[in-house]
Amino acid sequence: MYRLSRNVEASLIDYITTQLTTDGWVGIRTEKSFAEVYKGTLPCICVNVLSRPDIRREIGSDALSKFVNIEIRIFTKSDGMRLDLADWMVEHLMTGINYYEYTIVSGVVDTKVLKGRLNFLEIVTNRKELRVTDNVAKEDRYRQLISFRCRVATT
Amino acid sequence: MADGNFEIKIRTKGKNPELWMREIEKSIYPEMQDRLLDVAEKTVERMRNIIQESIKRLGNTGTLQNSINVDLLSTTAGVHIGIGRISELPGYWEIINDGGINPPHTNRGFFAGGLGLSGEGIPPMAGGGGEEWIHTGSNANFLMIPQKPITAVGYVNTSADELHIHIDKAIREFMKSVGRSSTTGKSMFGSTYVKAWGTRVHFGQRG
Repeated sequence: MYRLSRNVEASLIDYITTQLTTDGWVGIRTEKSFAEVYKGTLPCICVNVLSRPDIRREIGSDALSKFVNIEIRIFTKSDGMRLDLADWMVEHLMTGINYYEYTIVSGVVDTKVLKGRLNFLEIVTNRKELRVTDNVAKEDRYRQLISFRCRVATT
Repeated sequence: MADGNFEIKIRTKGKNPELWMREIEKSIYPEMQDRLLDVAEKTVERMRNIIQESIKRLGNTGTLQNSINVDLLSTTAGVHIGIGRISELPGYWEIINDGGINPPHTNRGFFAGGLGLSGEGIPPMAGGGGEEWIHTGSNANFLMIPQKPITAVGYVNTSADELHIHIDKAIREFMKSVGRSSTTGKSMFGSTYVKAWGTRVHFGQRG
């Protein structure tokens, strides 16, 4: 079974993949490994849980309020697409998404169970990456970084 | 690259607001400025450590770490501190921070341990074992074509996150030392009893 960070990543990838199809975006890959982005075609979205700054729910309690910092990198073929995808991402995610727990059997997802909501509290960063580097690889030419501070509300 | 904006609010009771503000300008403000500069220095130290910890290949020269410094840019109506002047940073600073493939035209040289310079006609080692890269410049030797992207080190983002914590702590300590309670956040307009200072810390400033 995945633990919280990977459940967050997988829930997010599931949500983004489904929503892209629903909204008519075609041919956009969603990855969770940075290196994988460079092995396929553009455009691509890369999702990572950066850190987990959990805090105690109350003094003396072992229960934690679960927070995650998420980085989403968007790799596109043009500046226009970069901006469109970045705006699309923010519009969809700020309302929150379902949080699932995944069970893995023989390396593949066996079941996923709805366990709560992933609430996007604030946008920490939303900017173009690699602005001052010349002659970068095609994957690095039109990149956007969006990072969020999120709370995992489990049932 | 990244900006952090902070405002410090101090309230007073039972004192003439004008006299009180003059008192603040004279004594408290320089002290707070010193504290914030100290926090900025610690942030630079943290950035250097993050970069150092991320190094995988031998022969690191420390160019990036040593080129990140603190600049006090302005002290008018607040404190504006700059960390890492872009004109002084090596060209690859952003690739290391954000990740990606370093532009290949900049990478001419050879891997130590290979026979690239000896004229044997044997291509240099691929460097997969963490061998030292000897950079020779644009007019000689082999062109390294990176096969894998550099994974983002994120030294700016990580330090910026931690900077918020350190600044909040510095403000709390400072307020304790001057015997006042404080809050941070947006300034409260329309109140003569509130003095708000803008504190701006900027990473990767141009110029």
